[in-house]
Amino acid sequence: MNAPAPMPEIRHYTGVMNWLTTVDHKKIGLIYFWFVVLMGLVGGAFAGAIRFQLASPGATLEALQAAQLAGTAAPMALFNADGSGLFGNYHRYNEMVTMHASVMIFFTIIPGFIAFANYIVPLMIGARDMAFPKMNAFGVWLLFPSAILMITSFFVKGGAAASGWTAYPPLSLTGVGDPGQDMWVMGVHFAGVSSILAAINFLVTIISLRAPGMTWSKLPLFVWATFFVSIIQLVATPVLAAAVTMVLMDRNFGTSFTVASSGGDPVLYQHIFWFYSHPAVYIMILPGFGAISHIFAAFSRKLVFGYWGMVIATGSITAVGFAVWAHHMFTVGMPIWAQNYFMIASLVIAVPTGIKVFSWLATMWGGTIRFTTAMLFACGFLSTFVIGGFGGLILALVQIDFSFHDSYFVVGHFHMVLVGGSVMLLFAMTYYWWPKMSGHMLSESVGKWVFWLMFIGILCTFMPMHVSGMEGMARRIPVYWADFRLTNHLTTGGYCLTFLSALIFFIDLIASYRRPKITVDDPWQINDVQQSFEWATSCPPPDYNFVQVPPIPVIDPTGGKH
Amino acid sequence: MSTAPIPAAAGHPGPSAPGHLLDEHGNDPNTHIPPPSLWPLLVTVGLTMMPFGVVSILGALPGWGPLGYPLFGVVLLLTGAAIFVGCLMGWCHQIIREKPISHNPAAQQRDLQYFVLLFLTGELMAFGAVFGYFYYRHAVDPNFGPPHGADFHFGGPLVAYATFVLLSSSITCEIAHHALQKHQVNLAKFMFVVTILLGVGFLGCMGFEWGEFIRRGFYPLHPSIADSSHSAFAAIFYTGTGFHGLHVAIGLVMLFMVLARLQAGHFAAHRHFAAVAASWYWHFVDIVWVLLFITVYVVG
Ligand SMILES: [Cu+2]
Repeated sequence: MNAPAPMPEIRHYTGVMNWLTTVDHKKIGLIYFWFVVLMGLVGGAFAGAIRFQLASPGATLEALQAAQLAGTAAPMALFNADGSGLFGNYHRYNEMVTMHASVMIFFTIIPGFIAFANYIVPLMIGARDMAFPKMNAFGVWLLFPSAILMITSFFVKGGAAASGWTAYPPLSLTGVGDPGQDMWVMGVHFAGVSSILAAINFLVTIISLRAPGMTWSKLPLFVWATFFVSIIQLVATPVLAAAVTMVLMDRNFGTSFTVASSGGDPVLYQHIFWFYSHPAVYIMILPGFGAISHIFAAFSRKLVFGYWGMVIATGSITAVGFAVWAHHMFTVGMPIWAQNYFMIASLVIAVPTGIKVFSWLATMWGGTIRFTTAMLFACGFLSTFVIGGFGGLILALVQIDFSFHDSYFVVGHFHMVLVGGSVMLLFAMTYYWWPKMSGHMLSESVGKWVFWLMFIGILCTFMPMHVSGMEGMARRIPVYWADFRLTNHLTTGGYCLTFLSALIFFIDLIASYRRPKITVDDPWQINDVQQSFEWATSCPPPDYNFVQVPPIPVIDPTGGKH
Repeated sequence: MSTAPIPAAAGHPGPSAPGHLLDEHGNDPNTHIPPPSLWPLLVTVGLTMMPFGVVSILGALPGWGPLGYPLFGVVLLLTGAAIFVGCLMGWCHQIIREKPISHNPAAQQRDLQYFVLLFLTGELMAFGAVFGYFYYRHAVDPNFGPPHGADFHFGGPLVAYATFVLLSSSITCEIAHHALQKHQVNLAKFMFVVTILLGVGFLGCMGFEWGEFIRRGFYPLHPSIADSSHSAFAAIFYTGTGFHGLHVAIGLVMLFMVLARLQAGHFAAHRHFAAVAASWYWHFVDIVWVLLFITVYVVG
């Protein structure tokens, strides 16, 4: 080996400039993380506005009718038909629903997992950084214009996009000339480019930067999950970009991709949209599936059960996930064979998912379990996610979906898997990896409060939604019959608990910086059982991650002997 | 594993062997260390300004101070575009300049090749949406297709010429690439020039074709000479070929930059990633054209 050429002068920055110019995967991961925390609070506040509207008895349909009959003023509500509410008219309510979903999906859950993947994956495979560090920085910066475009669109002429995060035409083709919907589309473009670049970066990093000895069969499950999810992101996101571009062009350039009256096809838009957006639900859950395997194993002091089963299950969810999209659109009038096919294919996904659930249970079986906050969140995730998953099975049945479609049952189902699933996973991952990322512990005693408040809050918010939906409460409608009063009261109460616990978590997160620095590499004391490179360097790791290339793990994650 | 306080350098990929120690600067002798960079942020700033410029031009931001004036929107859009293009070039320049300090050029070249392949996979999916739209409509709507008229003939010798020109440019591009590998720089330069000329020729043919269609009433935007089904066909025809034409134009810019760097003597026989990337991109554009040609002209 020749002696290295002398390094040219490298400018180093300090302070804010250090963060603005960083290409270090750990700093970028933290920028992602704080962006996500902030956006989670914003999206949660939007949900609060929705709940406020639906909580107040004054907003129910009957009360409105009674007031109209009596000739009195309409009852108090955030949004009112006559524009008298605090936030004006029902159109604002639609904006709120749209932006709640967009902020939560594009700026909280998807980048939330990317935040952890950014920080942890290079550590786990023993690399110094991602394959393309500057592109990694570009990916996180792109989220800012995306979020700015979407959120400032509230203040432009005509307000923000109000056609739901699905932007179905012809609804999304209304209000041409008001740029809210167009700004939303451009925001999706930016988030999409960010997503695609991150996916390419992860794929190349995992393929070519693994430390010597870190073979595919030793790859930690979180890395496997990130690998599969990156494939989904790379393949599906351009299709979403194409779908929303059709809306943009139909709105602004007079094309007729989705205009039925001139030969276009709004149903085809839905096909193209869901070709991305069903796989997108795996973008929002699979990385967490990978991470939670480590958490179950770590706090049961065991190896994860069925390593290859887990890898194959993740891979088959990735593959089958591309072939089930139309279960979101049973009621658009598809041929019977297509309905049957999409029903059966959707039910098939339950098989690999079941393999994962039972493997997690088997991982805990007979282990020495420590109920740290991370473990509590993991167990909480398992229970709420299974409930949400069963709701999904019910909705995958064509016959039932015809009566439940666009009801609160659907809302309850996907919140159960996104909040009870993805958000719980993000909390579990934060409690597990925050000591590594910041060098400070989160409070375990506060953490217990955060968990129980959130767990009860989630059940209390989303279980009653299933009941409202079964009884016939429609989604996306700002008023409802008084019959649904009890379930809606429960939902609003649950929302308050959940948001409260998120606020407590936020305060504890900031407070953690004042706690003493962690001096050990492995604060959870797990690396003797479940070896993972991220616990083999300091908390937080130095800029170059490892002083020397970490040795090959002695313990085989598959459970095999060396 | 202990972490002795070694002066930090911004880390980068590719550890060499287990237990392999860093040199006294905290650098792995086998890895390439990227300096911090402001370019990604600056490119993003440019990108942020552009959509707000557009929205301002549309007059949709009353009460947003200067943004309320469309003229300011024009300024914002142009400034944003200038920042975007300028900083993107700065970024490329930084990458090109830092290349020689790379200690593991082979690994870096391989990673960049992965990048191009994966990026093209994403591009293919975007075109996939165009094909998906086309075949779905073709299957469900018997009227979906080009208009038929006495003086209207869809497809013809011009498209055949264009296809021939683009296919031959792929061959000349490949010859240039091989010449570069054998370090026949002059032949490579000549073949790149031929490729660029053929690419421009293709764009010219397509532009002429578009003009001819529009002259005969096959408009991109609204129902025209026949019933409304042709309007969706027009949308997908003009968007598909337009999107492809945009890619041809981007490919031409890449080829031109390769030619410029070749002129500046940047490439070695074993290391000319930009040329490889440009030629792969060019082949990709070619393949997509063949698919598009079959879809639009043969099936349609
Ligand atoms: Cu789905």
